[in-house]
Amino acid sequence: MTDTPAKPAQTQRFSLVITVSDPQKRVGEGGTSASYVTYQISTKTNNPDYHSESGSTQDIIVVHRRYSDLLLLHDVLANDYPTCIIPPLPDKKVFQYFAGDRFSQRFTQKRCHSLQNFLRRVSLHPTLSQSSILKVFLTSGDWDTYKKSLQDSLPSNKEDVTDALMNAFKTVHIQNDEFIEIKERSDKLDHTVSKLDKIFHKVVKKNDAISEDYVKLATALDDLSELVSGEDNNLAKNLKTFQEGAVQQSYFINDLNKYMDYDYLVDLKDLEHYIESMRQLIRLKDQKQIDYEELNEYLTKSIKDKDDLIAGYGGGNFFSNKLEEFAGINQEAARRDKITKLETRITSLHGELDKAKKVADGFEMETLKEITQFETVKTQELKSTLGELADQHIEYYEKMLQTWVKVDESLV
Amino acid sequence: MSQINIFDSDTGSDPEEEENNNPFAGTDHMFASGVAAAPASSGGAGFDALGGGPGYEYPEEHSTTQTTQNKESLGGNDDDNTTTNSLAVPLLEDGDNTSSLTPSPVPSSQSSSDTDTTAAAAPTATSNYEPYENLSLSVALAQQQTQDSIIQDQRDWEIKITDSGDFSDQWGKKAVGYVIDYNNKEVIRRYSEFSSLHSLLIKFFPTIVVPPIPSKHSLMKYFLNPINAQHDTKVIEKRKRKFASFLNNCNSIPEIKSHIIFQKFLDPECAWKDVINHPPVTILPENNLLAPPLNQTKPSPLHPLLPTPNPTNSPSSSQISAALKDNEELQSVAKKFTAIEGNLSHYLAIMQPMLNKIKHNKFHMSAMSAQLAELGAFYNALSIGNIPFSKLSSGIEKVGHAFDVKYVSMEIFIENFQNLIEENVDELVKLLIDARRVIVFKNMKLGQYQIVKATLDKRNARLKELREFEDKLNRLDVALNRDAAGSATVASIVNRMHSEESVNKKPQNPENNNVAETEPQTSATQAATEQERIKMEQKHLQLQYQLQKKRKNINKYAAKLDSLEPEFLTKAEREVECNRTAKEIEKLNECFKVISRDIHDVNLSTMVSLTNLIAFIHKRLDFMTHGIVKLTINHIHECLKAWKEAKEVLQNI
Repeated sequence: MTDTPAKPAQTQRFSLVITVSDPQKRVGEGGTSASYVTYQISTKTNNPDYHSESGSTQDIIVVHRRYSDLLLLHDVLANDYPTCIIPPLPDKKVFQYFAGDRFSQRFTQKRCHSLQNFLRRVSLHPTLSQSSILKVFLTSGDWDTYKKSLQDSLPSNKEDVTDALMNAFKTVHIQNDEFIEIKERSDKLDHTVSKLDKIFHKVVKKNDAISEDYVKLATALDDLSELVSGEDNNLAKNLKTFQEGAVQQSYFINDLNKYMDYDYLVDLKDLEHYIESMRQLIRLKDQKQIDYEELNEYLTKSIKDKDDLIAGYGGGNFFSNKLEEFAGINQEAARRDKITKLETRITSLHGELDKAKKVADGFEMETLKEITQFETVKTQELKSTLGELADQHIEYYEKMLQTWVKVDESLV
Repeated sequence: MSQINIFDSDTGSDPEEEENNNPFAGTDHMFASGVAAAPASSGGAGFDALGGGPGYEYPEEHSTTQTTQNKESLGGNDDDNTTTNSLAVPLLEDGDNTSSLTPSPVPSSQSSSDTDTTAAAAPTATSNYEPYENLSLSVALAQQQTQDSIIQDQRDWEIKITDSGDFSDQWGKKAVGYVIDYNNKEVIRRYSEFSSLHSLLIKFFPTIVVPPIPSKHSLMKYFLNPINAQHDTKVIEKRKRKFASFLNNCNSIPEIKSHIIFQKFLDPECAWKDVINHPPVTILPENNLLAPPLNQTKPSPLHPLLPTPNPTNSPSSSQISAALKDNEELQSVAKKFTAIEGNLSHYLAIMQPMLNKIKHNKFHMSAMSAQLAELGAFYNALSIGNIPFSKLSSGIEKVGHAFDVKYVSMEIFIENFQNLIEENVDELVKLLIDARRVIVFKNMKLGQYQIVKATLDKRNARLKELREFEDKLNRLDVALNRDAAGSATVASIVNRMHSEESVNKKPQNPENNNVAETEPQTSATQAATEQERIKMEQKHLQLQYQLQKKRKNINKYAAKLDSLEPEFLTKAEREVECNRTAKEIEKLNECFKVISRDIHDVNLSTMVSLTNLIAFIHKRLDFMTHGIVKLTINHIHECLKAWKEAKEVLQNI
């Protein structure tokens, strides 16, 4: 972690473009396990390290990985780089396993897109993109053996969870203004994005309904045109033309919907997850700070106790003093004993405190750096997804316009 | 023709109806419209040739009828006909307007200028987010202008609904009034008045498809929205449109246009309450089958004599078609009707579910546009709320703007979609349903015709039967009397028959009769003895007894004399029966003439109305198709522009 500041400069030199595509259903080997889905992951990079096996930097390195492989990669990265915002993976979607449509095109396409988002984010990250595990993941044919050895050694992060839960109700006392702002912003962003996600879901559904309406309307128009055809051929022709337009429109709506469902919604969801990852990091940072603050508190308390004892007002209250008196404890000796104990504690606490302070400060710095990184990635992503969204809409409307102008022209 | 005169003389009594004095004024208008629909025609049968004319072509036929009728009934009104719009005419104009719109790129150019203003406004919008609302509003307004022109072109109507609002009538009751502008005169009418006009028109014109009025508020709406429903501006706007459409459609039907009730409705001098409490409204017949079909308030003495079929006892279609067998003209008309009716029911079968689909579609689209509005809002929130976005935020804002434009444009689209498609289809469905009423009336009239004809046939047959029997008897008599001179046997038979007849003639007083009759008999035959006479008498009595017995048996089945075979009747009874039947036939013939004329009128009027309806449907469908395509294209233009702008800004980041 100490060498991270140097890294970003280095990473600028190598481009790393990863594409996830072509989800394929594979039948489990040797009857041991059920079928699974693999994704083709192609890497294009000018980093010579990646090309030790083949040679030319122009080559595209292709491997096939399944979801669990990516999950392992994710976990390893999370373990190795605790101060980084690890891009999230798509949900496991346990439900889909039961529902049985885990191999449906919709599911795999969406997951494919989401995995692509994950790998892109990793590749854009200055630290994560340099990790050796990523290189192994992207290039090595021995990944499977690597994976087996890793899976056992990977520590479970259960402890973290309980720790986080324990401290869930504690809050940082002195919060950096910057972080307050970051938090507010991320909350707002999260809220907005999740709202957008929800609305887009509804929009997709409504679009489906509208597309269906157009199909139904088209059939009715078809009937009408047939009915009219004997009497008024022009009208029949017009109705027919219009009917064809309606059918086309329903196709276009479906196309647009497919994009929104398969791509844009996934992007939104991933953005939500990414924000969540960032907030987790902030929470972790808070944790460190809480650790430090608690130590600090303890220290001040100890110092105060010591000072009190030295000053002579009893540590503890009147009754405990009396009790100790009855027990025949020499109060003066006990006091001195206590003071020395406190003194040693204070000195050790000072050391601890310094350490915690360092950790917390370091963490904060890292976090800030991560957040800046997060912001750039997010900005880029928003730009590209919105651009894509606009493109899709433009394409949709242009196709529609073409169709309807054609309809308009052929109307008599 | 004589019938017409009867009707004419009948109606002079009512001074209220001077304008409408001639009962066939409406008919003539109708004929005129028939001419407009099918101008080229040559020859054909006039009214009097009702029974003949094998090459009878229905709509074409009117021209001759018109010319004959116009002379006595129309006079100065004639020139009206040329300008009169049958349902089809104004719509033709609509079509022209639409097509004149088609080549000119007016909507697109205008919309592009709209968006140009938006583009100009956009940079300011990015710098400070305030003028956003105004912006979309201006888009909306500009759009409204272009899109109105698409729907508006059916608005070059004679009658306009210019305003609506609360008003209190002379009784101080408050209600929503609709201001009708006709011939630069303003009339305020309320919904209930429209409604009563509509139902009156239905009563006055059983053979004409009456344009529909908007339906009442559903109770559900009151429950859901008790305060607003009545005065809901949307509902009132919708009604304004629909009432305007109703009045103009009525106006385009010559019969309705010229009708006193309709004219009074448009007359600011007339209080509607007075109109409905005076003739002709008050003299509307109870049963529209018992009045002249084209002029319900001009009763003829014969119409009340017509039978009244109702759905339970009306003759079956097979009976009717049997009744039409000997009338080729009516048969061919019936065939045409079957085709049209089938056609209309097909239309209804398609349009009714289509209306539902359209309503669904509208519902989905408005749900969609609500989502879009939210999307726009959240994208704006995204762009405003995040400072680090600053470079991006204008791009995001543009995307939000694109969604907003889509939302506004969609709202307008939905609004117009409703005006153009939903309301029109709704109107068509209502017209089609009303067409059923007209068809039912026509069929009822046919039922009447069948009943009259069947009765007449029966009576004629009866009379013929009676007369033939009488004839036979007379011939037999003559023959016997001739032969009696040469043969005693024949003479005795004749004698016996005479006495038999006399017995039959006055069965209540046989003795007396016999005495009177025997004297010429004795003088004629000489050979008759008293014994023989008694014997014969016994025989006669026996015969008569048998006759009585037979009649008794038959009487069990038929209570009336006229259902008896003529053999079972005495001479006197036969005579009475003959006279009665002859009289009845005379009356029935009158009735038959009336009903035949009625049928003719009804067929003509109904046929014209239905043909016009189909033409109207076609025009409307065509109009809707053109309109919706225009709307869609406008909508697409708007959205495309907005998205392209968004894309441009995004690319420049």
